[in-house]
Amino acid sequence: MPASLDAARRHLKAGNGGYVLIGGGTGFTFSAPKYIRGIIDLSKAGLDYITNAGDGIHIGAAAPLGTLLKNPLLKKYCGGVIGESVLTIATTPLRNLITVGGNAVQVFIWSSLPVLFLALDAQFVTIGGRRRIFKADEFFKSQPRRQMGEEAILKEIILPRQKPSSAAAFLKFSKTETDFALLNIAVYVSIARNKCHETRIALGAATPLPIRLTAAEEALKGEVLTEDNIALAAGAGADMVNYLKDMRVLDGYKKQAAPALIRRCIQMAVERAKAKSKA
Amino acid sequence: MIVNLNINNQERQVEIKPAERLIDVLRREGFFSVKEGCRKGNCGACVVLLDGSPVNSCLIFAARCEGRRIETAESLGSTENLHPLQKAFLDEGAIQCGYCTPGMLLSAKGLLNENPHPAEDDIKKALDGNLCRCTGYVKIIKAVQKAAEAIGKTR
Amino acid sequence: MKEFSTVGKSEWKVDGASLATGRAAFTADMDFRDLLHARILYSPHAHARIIKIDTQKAKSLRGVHGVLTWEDLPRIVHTTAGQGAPEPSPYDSFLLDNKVRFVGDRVCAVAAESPEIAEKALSLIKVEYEILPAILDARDAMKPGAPVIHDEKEAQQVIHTPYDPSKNMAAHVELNIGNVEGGLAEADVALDYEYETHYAQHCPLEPHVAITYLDENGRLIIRTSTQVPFHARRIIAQALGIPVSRVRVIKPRIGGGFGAKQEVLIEGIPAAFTLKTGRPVKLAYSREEEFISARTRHPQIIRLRTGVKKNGDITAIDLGVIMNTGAYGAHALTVICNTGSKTLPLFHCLNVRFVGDSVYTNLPVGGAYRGYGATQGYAAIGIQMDEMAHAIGMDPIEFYKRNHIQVGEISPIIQALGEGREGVEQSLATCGLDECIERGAKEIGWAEKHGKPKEGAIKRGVGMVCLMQGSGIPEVDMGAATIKMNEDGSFNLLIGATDLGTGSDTVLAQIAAEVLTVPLGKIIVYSSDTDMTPFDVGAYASSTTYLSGMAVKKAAENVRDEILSVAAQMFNVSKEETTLRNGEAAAAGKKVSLSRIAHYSLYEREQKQIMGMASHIAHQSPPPFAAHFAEVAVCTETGKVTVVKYVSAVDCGTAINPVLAEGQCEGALLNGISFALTEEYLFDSRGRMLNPNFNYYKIFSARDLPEIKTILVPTFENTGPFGAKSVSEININGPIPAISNAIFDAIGVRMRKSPFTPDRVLKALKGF
Repeated sequence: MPASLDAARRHLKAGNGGYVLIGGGTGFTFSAPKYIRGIIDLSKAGLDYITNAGDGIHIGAAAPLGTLLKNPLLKKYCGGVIGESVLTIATTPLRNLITVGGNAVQVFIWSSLPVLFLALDAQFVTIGGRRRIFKADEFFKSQPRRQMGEEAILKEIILPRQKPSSAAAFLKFSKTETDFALLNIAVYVSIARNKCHETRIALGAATPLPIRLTAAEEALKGEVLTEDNIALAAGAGADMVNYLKDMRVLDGYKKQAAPALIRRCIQMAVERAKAKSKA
Repeated sequence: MIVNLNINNQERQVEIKPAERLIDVLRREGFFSVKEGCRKGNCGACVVLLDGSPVNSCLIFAARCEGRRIETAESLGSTENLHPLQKAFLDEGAIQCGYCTPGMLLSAKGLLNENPHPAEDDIKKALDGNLCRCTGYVKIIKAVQKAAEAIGKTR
Repeated sequence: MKEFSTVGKSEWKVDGASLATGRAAFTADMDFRDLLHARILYSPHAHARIIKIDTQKAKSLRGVHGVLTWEDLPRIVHTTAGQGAPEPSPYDSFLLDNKVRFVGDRVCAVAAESPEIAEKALSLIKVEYEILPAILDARDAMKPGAPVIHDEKEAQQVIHTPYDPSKNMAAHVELNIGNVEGGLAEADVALDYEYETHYAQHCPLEPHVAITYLDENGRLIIRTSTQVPFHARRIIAQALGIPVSRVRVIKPRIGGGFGAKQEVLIEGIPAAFTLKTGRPVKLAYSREEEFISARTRHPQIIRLRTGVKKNGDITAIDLGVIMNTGAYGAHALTVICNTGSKTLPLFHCLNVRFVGDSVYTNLPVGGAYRGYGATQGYAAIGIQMDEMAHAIGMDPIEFYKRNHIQVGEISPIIQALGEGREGVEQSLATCGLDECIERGAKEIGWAEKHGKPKEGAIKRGVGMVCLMQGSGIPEVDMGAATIKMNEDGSFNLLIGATDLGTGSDTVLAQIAAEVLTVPLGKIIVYSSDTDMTPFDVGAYASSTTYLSGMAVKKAAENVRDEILSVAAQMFNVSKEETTLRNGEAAAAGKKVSLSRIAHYSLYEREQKQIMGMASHIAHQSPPPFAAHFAEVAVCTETGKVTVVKYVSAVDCGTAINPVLAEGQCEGALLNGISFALTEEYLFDSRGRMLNPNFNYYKIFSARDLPEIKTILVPTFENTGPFGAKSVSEININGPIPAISNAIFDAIGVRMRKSPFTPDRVLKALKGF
């Protein structure tokens, strides 16, 4: 249990691939690697901060999800979308164990935060690997661990500074409240002169890694955000996806349900952004 | 290896194996209120408070708890001197088989530590990690509300 | 309504404080020296013959103290169903066999010094199988040429009832009253639909666990999480080939059962190891084992035909059931009997036919599960009643009021259909159903909401259903109680009845306290220890309050008689002149306390132990009734069904402890709602369960809880203790039909196959 990030890095290097980094350690219930020589626990490495810097909010990778819910900076960020998303993850006692970094680095198909980070254009700061900083689009291109390199450690996640008249929304669709998502949607939107200025729309639980719904984004950019436009964009977004088979639902279901859910999430974000621009 | 654990306000030195789960160590030390229901962090029967916050003791290595404060249901109150949560659970009929009760009480206590006046929705969210198959949760939620009121009155 | 002092009060559970403080001891909450841990190897195949088991490597692993295969155990056929003797379930099980019949069937077992060593040992065992063709659909089981699952010569039914393992028929039931075809012909509207209910698991928070050890006299002590300690004693003795006198079964606190633990499922394995090694052995199921290898709710395929006249009269009911009992026939006959006997008597109808087959498949094994066949039956009948009412344009409320059984009626179905034998004639003495319907309808806002046009993408609807169950099994089940008095005026209440978390220890103590006119705190309860307490069939069939409660009442009355005799002697008057009130005996203007009487009796004159004992067998099974109302919101774009509010109005006679009775209703309800909406077994094409954990088998958490309103409607059942009937099972039967009917009200689509998951609802609505 290293007391600093540097110490963790030295351990990882010395371990020569035999060590596994953990944040909360809850991922072991799904996929415990067979040949672990040891575990490097990041909980005491000083990575549980949440601070506001010039370029945005920095969240230490080892911050447990539970602390994200309580943090006043995050409560205000994009209309509380972080809390909205965190509350869809697991349960209260698990949220006190699962870390934000663990959730971002070990992406499961149903993961919530990667979808949101993709929509928010978050950045990922690592040490000890190929490079120091990743944009979300790169980070989630394949399993982040592969992007980062085996010897890298995720240090922090940076949420970009909020722009005026912008907002975000997150929507998990599942059978029960604590169930894994059947679909996850995150939408970021900014409004200028009553039109959509910028938007990033991400979908999770449909494909192995979360994806941007670029067709939906393009359909909205520069357009007036009417109900019809939003519905058209949502349909275009849903159409571009190759939905993975999921044993929990009938084949073809996700494709059917996705347009309405994407539409609702866009609407939620747009309503928030409009409210903000009025204020 | 030896870890120092503060269990229910008592410092203990405990001999453990490196990958031993907290639940196994606690039960070996005699804290049988910590129950096992799934081994995967899904049911909440093993919930304890770690530095005041509920966690699943089946998913946490005891070695990680060095120097930390652990509370189990044994610490809440005795039969003669019940904690308001325990009393409310009895008054409202929130206990049936009682297997989920210790974890449920601790999650409720974790909530009240942070939010002394929870709304019904706050209670539901705080207890979402503690499954109960007997009660249908109705009386548990009511009991937590009653306990919050009772604690509020004594303050 | 009669006034009582303890009965009818929401007293604290007698074991409540110890449970609340975490001090109550469950099966595993005890240290044993030299404890061994047993683990079981399960079949990866749905149907296979075991050719060879190589246990050599496992046996030589350090820390392993025994390996058991079918060759090491006496080959004694029995049933695991924890029922009275002779059990109505077929004898088709062995502790271990040379054949496996489902993925999750037992192959062999290991006992070792730690669970880890035992796991390691399992991985060293090599098994050679001859894989056999499997039956994975109940519809295929009785087709000609289907593989025979129980081809062993020992398979048999020990009571006189149809059983044909060569056709995979585990049980068959048939009932014919009146003329069904004639009834259908005279109907204005005839309906004919197929319904289907799905697999589910009880999910007690405490999985099955047993610890076995030898006492200083070499007797086998079994500390186990069971609902049926006395049946467990008998069946374990039978399966191990040892006398009952050598076995003692102790049930400590248990972490829920719901029927799962009405099965003598795991105790035999650790017991065999204990007999072999002389050491204590623990077998604790994991959650995964609970799903794949314990018991489940039997799925049913139901074809239901009914006829109805425009005026609302039901002219015929024709109920055809195929029940999948899985690889073994635990409760195969009695569950399917209940599908008819706990549903059909609810209605006036002169022409009724019920034909059912329980069939073997190579899938997980069915068992007792709260509702016990009635849940499945109402999933068809409760929906078709709504369809009938809709077909003739009648409000379902009026339809039920017109058609439900009334006080004084004798149901020919109850008379014809018992559990594995003929039923008994019963005239209905109490029925609070009309009041249940009225109060429930008001609470949900039925008149304002039902049948009204809906708007928007998310549509709301309301649905209702009426239900009945039974209270124990008449002329079959027996409970007994012993009460003895101590010198401080307290009483030991010794009961075989089994509290699985329901609060029966408390309810039974309240009954004793009421008769003996003492506060509840004066009753010290000890239950479910086969050496110490009198016999009781155990906790099932909604029987404990009604049946064991009467045994306690009678025992307490015997004690009261003795108290009065002693007091009369002390007063020097006749017993008839003496009365007992508020813990004091009185006669001729004099009073004497119970502790004084006990002292006198134990130490002063004509010393004796004041005590009473009584057995009780019920001649009736008075049904509790309920009316359920669900309000749902159905999303027409995603198919998601959300229960907004659920009202259950229940006539359980006198609620001995109202808060505990409400808790029984609410717990059953939420289990039923969760079953109707999300819980299901997912299988691969070879019969393996894909979701044996709470990650993918979702039961409701507090966050999923809809608004629930429970209304207790009191009646007074003269044959029950202080007017009580049963309450524990009935409420699990309502959610499937009530929610399905509400979905129809919301979106006009009939869901006849459960569960009502978003994908199924959307497919029914839009077809994709």
